[in-house]
Amino acid sequence: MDFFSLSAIQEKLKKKELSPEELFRFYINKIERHNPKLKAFISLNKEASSKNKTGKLAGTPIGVKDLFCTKGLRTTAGSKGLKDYVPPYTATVVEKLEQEGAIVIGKCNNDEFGMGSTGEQSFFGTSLNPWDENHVAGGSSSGSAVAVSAGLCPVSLGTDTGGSVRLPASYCHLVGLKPTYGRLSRYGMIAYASSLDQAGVFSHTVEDTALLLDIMSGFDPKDSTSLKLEKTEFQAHLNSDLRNKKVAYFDLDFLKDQIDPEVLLLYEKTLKLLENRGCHLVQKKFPYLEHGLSVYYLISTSEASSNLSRYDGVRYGAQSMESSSSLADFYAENRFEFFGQEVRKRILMGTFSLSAGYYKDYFHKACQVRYLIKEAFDDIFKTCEAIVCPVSKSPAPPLSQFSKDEVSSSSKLPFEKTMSLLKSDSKEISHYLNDVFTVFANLIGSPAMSVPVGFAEDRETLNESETQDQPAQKEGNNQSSPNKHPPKKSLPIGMQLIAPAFKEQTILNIATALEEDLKINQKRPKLYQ
Amino acid sequence: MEIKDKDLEKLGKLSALKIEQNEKEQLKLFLTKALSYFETIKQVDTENQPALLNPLSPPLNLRKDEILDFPDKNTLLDQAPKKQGALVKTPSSL
Repeated sequence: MDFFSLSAIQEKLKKKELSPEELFRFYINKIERHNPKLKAFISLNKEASSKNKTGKLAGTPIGVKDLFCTKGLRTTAGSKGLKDYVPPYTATVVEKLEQEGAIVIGKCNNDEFGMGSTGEQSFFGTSLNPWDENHVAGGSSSGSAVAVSAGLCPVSLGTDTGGSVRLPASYCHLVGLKPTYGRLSRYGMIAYASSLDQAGVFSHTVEDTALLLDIMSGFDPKDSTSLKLEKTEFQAHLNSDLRNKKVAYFDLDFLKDQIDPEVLLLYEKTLKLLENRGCHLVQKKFPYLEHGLSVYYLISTSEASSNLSRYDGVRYGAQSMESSSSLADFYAENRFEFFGQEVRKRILMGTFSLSAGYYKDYFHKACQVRYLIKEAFDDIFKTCEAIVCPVSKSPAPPLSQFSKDEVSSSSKLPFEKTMSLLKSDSKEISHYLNDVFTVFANLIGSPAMSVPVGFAEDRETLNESETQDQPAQKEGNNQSSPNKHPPKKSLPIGMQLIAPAFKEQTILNIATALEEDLKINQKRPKLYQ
Repeated sequence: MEIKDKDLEKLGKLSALKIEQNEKEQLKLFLTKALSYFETIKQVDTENQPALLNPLSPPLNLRKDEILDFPDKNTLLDQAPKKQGALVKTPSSL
């Protein structure tokens, strides 16, 4: 009874072919069997009751990224500093799912505070890609993607600040949606960058994503940035008729040396499918492609340095020491013990761009370019209902590739132009470049989703990565160096759909058409079927 | 822009983050390279452009400035490492 869609699960439960207890036990058993290796979950909610649940999700187990607060259930944000934190309240979006009968079966692994694009920055170890365990699952919502992909739960929640739902969805062959900024409440979602963060969904089918979105949408007085919008009926209005829809695409030929050829091949195939469906494809220039990441990282790290200032051992977070010679030292010591290296790097970067003397040239300038990016996308949306482009420049990279990308003291400054950083041989900060196509939707607040469209033959060999150090300070990171894996394994590739704000229905409908044509929800990783 | 020792020291203080001696070189190089990358946005003409701080610039739906009761105050208080009666006891700041 593996890999049911939510509607199939509900049908089985209603016909009493399956009891909620059996369903819950099935998933718990499967998690206990595979989680020690996959590290999809940080905490399990084994004692949760599946009795007397009513609603659209009655008795359905869901995975929840460990950035969402869950009352009485440990919530770590993937951080050592919150490893013992048990919240006294539940995030609004989780509460809404529970009100419809969903059961939080466990908390899913993620990069610490959502800062990462591979899943390798969690204190609790790296979630492995079920399609090929020698490859990353993508991040930061790594565990949420792995859990659904490996069939450890039927759907899960993630968060998306710059691609943290879409990237792992693409790497793990799932539907992944980041809704419009403000459509879902962020209350109870541990903040990384408040003007970019949004809750998102992982599922096997577009219909399941639409259902969860319908349930979670709505104004929340506890989140002043949530919007007062009309009640949504995305699931009821799913429609794969794309005739006469105008869809924009980007000519990416000038990047053909930097993008995996199979990504480009599947991009062309996707465009052809849309054309066959009656779409009018309109070629556009990708606006500010060479500046998107700079704008994103300047803004996100600045907001992070502010948001994470609360973890000082007094207001939030554990105290690593009883006292110190000064209050400043007390804070600095606590925060050093609290955060992992990636988070500290980003806080330092954000502090720099907000500091007197540099604010105007960095943070303020980035916000001005953000305005221009928004204007440019608005301009595209004047004539097109949606945009289709790749999610990432490649399928899931091998594990630990990014560990070796750490800056070495012998490195020089090899790049003069931003675009040169898209080259796969630019080691210095290349793991930040995974988000190159995804950050734009967050910067402009648009809904965007990843839809699985195919597979690439894995031509990577692990060679150097076998000798790389794993990120330090991991609890339970007992994975050995990955064995040399057989070549020609298939790795999933997703395409990204972006729509104007509040037009989720448009991209859900396009995704439905692709789903019908490609039968995407019928493919599963063999080891976990 | 090249990040030097004194810049890193200042950033550490502003961030309230201890920086260990053995990570200084790595952090300086990371910040220098990242800044070099970010500086490409200086090529964009932004004269007279507004700064976009929130993607949709919606009116904030602020609550009334009034006290709301949290249903489980004791659970909140129990989060503190030390408490005294109904108060959170913090480390001395002097």
